[in-house]
This record gives sequence, C-alpha cells and structure tokens, in this order.
Amino acid sequence: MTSLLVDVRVAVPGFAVDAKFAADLGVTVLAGPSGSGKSLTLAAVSGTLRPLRGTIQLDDVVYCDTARGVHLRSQDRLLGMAYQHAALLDHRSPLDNVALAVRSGDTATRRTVAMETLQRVGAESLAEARTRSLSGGERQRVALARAIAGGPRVLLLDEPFSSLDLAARAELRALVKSLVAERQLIALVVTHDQADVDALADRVVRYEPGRTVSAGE
Amino acid sequence: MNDWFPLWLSLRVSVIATIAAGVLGVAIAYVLAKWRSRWASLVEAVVTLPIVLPPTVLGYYLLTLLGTRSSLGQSWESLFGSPLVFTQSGAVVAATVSALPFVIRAARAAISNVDARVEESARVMGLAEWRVARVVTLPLAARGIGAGIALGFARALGDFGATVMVAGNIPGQTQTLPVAVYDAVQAGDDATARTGSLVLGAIAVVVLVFVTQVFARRR
Repeated sequence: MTSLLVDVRVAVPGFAVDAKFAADLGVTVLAGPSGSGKSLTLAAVSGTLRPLRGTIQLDDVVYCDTARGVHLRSQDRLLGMAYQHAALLDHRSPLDNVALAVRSGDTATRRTVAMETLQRVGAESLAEARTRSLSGGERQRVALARAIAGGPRVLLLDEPFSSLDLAARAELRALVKSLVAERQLIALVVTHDQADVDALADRVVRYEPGRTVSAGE
Repeated sequence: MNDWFPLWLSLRVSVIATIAAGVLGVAIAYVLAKWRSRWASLVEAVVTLPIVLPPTVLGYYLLTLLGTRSSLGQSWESLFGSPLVFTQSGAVVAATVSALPFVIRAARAAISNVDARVEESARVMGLAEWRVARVVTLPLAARGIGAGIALGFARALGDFGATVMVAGNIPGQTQTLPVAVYDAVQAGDDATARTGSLVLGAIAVVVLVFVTQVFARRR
C-alpha cells in the first residue's frame, strides 16, 4: 500500500506546528483555520521549507530525515502542486506551462503529453490562449493539468478552489476526485472550506492552532 | 560639427560596453539576489562604488589595475600584443565598469521581487535550478533588467572621467563624444561643443523616456 508518512515539526519565526499523519492513496484533506500550519506542512512535503525536526517518507523513499541530515530536493520528490497563488507563468502559454512540467522526452513529446493532459482536464481549447486572460476556473484547470503532467505520485493542492464561484468549485472538486482515482495519487489538499472536506476527503487531518496535529478518519 | 568620429566611437564603445555590462551585471545581480550571506551586501557595496566615486578616481583605479606596469595589463598585452590602456578597448572597459552598477542594482531589485512561490512551484514540478532562472526568474524580472541596461547604456555613452583616464584623449583614436565636447570648449569651438552636447542630450532623453515607459506599463 502506497503511503506518505509525515512526522515533523515545522517552524517559521514566531510559529511552529507539529504534524503527524499518514496519507494513503486518495485525498487527505488538511483542514483547519488559517494560520494553523496547514500550508507550512505542505511546504515541508514539497521541500521548499526544511522542517525543524522529523521525517517525511513516501514508501521507502525518504524525502526528509532531519536526524540523518537527509533533505531531498523538490525536483527529486515526484510531486505535482497547484497553489492558490503563483499558479501559472503568465508569460508562457497554458500549453507551455503544462509542457514545462513534463519530466521526460523531447520537446515534441512533452508538448504531446501536455496537450493530452489539457484534454483530460477539459482545457484543450485553452492551449494557446493568453494565460493572463484566463478566468479563475480556467487557470485552475490548467494548473491541475500542470500538476499531474509530470506523472507525480503525490499531488499537493493549497486552497485550490478559494477564488472560484460555487459552480466552478463543484466541477473542479469532481475533476480532482476523478484524477486522483485514475492516476493513483496521494493527494494532500489544504482547505478551510468544509464543503471541500465533505466533497473530497477520504481522510481528514484537523489542524488547530498550537496543538499537535494527527490523523483521524 | 564636421567630424563625426567621436559620435561613432561613443556609440560603438557604449554598445559593446552595454552588452558586456548586461551579461556580467545580470549574472552578478542573480548571485547577489539569491546569496543569503552578509558578504552579499559587502560585495554589492563594492560593485556599486562606480556610481558614487568621482569618475576620475574610478579611472585612476582602473589605470592602476590595468596599466602597462600592472600584472593584469601585462597579461592583456602578452595576449593581444598591445596595451589595454589608451586604446578603444580601454574605453570599453571604462564604460563597462561605469555602466555595471546601474545594471546590477536594477536587475538585483527586479530578481529579488520575483515571487519566490513561483520559483518554488517551478522547482516542485521538476525544473533544474538553471531552468528556473531561465524560464521563470529572468523573464519575470525582464522589465527591471531592461531598465537597468538602458540606464547603463546612457551612463556608458556619457562617461567622461573614467574614459579620459583609461583611454586618454587621442583625436581620431580614443576621443569619445563627451571628451570631444570638453576639448571643443577648451579650444573655444562653440559649434562643435553645442552639436555634441545636443546629440548626447537627445540620446539621454530618449533613453529616460524609454525607461519611464517601461516602468509605467508595470501597472
């Protein structure tokens, strides 16, 4: 059984969070109020932030083990991510954005894979659109395509639907759910929206300020 | 003005110097922006010196560093067969060093302003560091870098003090337009001084309008 084990203390100046949970295939939602350390946990998993102590491990691949001084680079963790902010490169077309995330093959192959991925998320008509002028929902679809185009094993989504209207949220939740099942992904979804939890979660990790966070079903 | 040599020399020297300062300056700015060390601010202070030093003093340093009796100057001479100082190459070096801090300061600020989360998401999707720089950081910093390069060009074109120290004032060989204006004033040749000054002034205005436009379009 594929599983991501997280047992870390993550800190930034003035704030620290202890998180301990296991995420299996399917969607694990990290839920809780803003400022409770959900995004910090994602940053530790993605490798952009070094935890103060602890381990992060995907099956037998150690992403991070502070005791042994192991810290795998973000590039080597086989992740896909779509964040609320900083999702797409506006100076590149949506197709380019997705193609950049394809990890192997020559340019033509990458573009083919990117196009297929855009089709999968229902965004093939946007391939050569001006990225800057996409709507929030369109951007999020392209961002999802980019997140899965590299064939990740772990998908990280940080408040992925917060800027969307209700109809777009419902559509994208369904899309995320089906992509995770189809591609056999471990998805960590950060949200403070209970509707996301209800619609997506196979497991929920509840965050509360100042408390050790651990998994519950 | 019946002799246009100084204008062509100035344009040639400042174009080459701008290319050199652009490549070197962006590379230094990138390292300074990414290097988390207190030494970074010391290095930045040193590379900024040409802005605040009197140009003649900067020229004197360069002359000392690159002159025929210095080891750098002697290596240059053994490599290219002629000295670096009092040549057009010397003028290029002086203009490059004068332009460099303008490129570095603007590029460093622009690179530091690029949203770190965009760079991080590029790393997470597997891009190697040099590709993050090429695909994400530098394109997003392009406006600031362009403005710095334009200012650097204007500075290179207008340099007097450092150029006259390092390249000298040899009419028809190393005499750039600002130096020619000075010469004309000394010789009481008002017409030449006026024409040269107008040309330099006009180019400076065009460059400044360009820089302002670049920043205005930034929203």
